[in-house]
Amino acid sequence: MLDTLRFIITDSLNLGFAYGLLALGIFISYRLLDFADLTAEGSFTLGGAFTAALIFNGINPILSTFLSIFVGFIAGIITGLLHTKLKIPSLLSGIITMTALFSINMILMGIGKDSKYDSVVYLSKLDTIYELFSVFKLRYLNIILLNFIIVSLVTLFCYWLFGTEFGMSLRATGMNQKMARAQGINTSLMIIIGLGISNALISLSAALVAQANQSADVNMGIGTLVVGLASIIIGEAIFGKRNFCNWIISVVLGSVLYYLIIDIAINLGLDSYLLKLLYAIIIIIVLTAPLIKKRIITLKRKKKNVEN
Amino acid sequence: MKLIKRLVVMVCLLCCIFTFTACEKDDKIKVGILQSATHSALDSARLGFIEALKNAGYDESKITLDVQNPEGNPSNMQLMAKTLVRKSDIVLGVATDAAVALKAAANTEGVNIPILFTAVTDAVDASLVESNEHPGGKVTGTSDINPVSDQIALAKQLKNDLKTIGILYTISETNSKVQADMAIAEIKKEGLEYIERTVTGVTDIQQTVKKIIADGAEIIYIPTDNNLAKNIAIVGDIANDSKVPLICGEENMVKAGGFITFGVNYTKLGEMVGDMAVKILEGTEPKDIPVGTLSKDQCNLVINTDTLALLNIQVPDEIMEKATKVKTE
Repeated sequence: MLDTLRFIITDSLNLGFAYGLLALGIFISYRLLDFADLTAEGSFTLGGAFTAALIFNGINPILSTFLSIFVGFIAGIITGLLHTKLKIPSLLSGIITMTALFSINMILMGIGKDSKYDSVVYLSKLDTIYELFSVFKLRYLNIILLNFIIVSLVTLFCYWLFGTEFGMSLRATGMNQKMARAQGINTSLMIIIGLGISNALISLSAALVAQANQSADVNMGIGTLVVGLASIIIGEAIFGKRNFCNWIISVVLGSVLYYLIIDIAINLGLDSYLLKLLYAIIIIIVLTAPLIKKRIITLKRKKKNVEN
Repeated sequence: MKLIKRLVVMVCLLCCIFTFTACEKDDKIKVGILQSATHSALDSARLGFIEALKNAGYDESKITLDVQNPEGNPSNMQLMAKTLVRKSDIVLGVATDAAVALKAAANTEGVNIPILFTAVTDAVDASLVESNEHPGGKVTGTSDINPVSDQIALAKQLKNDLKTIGILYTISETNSKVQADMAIAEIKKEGLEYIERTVTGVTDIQQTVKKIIADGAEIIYIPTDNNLAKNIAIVGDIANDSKVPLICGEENMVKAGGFITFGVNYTKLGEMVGDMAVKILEGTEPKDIPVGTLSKDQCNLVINTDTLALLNIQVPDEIMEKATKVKTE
């Protein structure tokens, strides 16, 4: 039993930190910029496909992971340009980039192979960053440690960035675009760069996931948006958002919590067709927890008032 | 402080959950199955595997089965793969992505249990085994590589003056592409023309089928493609209207509205990997068991008589005699 508990915790840390970067990326577009960015599903696959293709062709894994940040950034910038310069509605511009990325990803994964395109790259015979960074004997401990270091650095960077004048302008743009423009902020530029940063983090997240899984395939982005949004909402509900520092950490921990919930559900030994129902119920409980807490507090107050 | 309090409460909750669900310890053999999605062919393979174990005496009194299905969700697949490799004595991956996930999970967790696979088209390409004859590691299984040359020969038998065969598959499925390439090579060898068209999902199937027929495909060949298997009825409706026969990769596609197949019987494929599992449980090392494929006489010739009536074509008697006849389900 203790073993199961330990494994559940390590698993959720393992996936939670990697997908925590995804949650941070979606947090930037969805919460800070107030922009429903559907590029995420495409840029996630892009990050995985790009990194895997580079490693497959013998490029250093560390360099490949680092470069994945830039391709994600470019994907985000394209969505931003479509929205701000070509005046395409936000949802649609995300969908357009996501659709285009499907083809790009197929081409990327075909690099160095016989055919022009492919839908999957396997890395199990090649070294990934986790093989280069082997502190422990067990691979999953290395994954947890390295992912933790990366996600901490990125969170710190985000905390610093969104406290600078640039970051404040970006957040102001998300709060009230007209007002921000009246203050002399170039809102178009803020949206473009904001989406760039958001997708850069999403792409980095996928680069880590692909290397941990030792494969990347064209469907790996499916459902990432849901994971990201759920992580944000769960994190906010459980860990709160009293100030920016608290908020940003909540988002990352929300992702860990999301995988904790799913892993518990899997380990309960339910039939797999029931799992989704269970996820839904657990998420409802998590979301309503703050509401119930409020009710209890007001009830207590009323009692006190009556006693007085 | 508040955060710590909350964390403590959560850990306590977790402990509670596990005291309730603490798994009973017993000396049964734990068999884990990871199936990548619900799909008639994969279901057949899984059931065949369980059946073969049962026939060899490994029934519920001796083994506990743990079947996991992430329904195609990649991150859940990772979690399930990890859970299975830790808990089980032997695991089976149904379909390529599940097998790859299990192998990666075993590597990540540092677990050294036998891993079996079934319904994998090219195990070497997927880095599951070193070679089909000598798997090398702890991984072996059965491959669903199709008798593509016989399927193309079937097309020639159906239509004497055949000139052009259309090939239809989903672009994101590697397994389909491998078979499509084999089919193209075979068609070229026969001196026929081919038209290759791919779909990306569900929405573009209709137009693509119409286009391939308009371009002059007299017969359409569809490999064992997961996306098209699910949506074969859409393809069937259009093709039958235009009197174009569909040669499918496997039986379940024929039952769902395709026309004819000479292909892998997934139940038998599953039974074959089940027999391997029995061998491993009785002491054989996985590295000594070559990757299995079905021989020609283990493949099924299946024809859909409902579709035959719609197509209104003449099928040679020898095919009709040999074929198992099914109706659209």
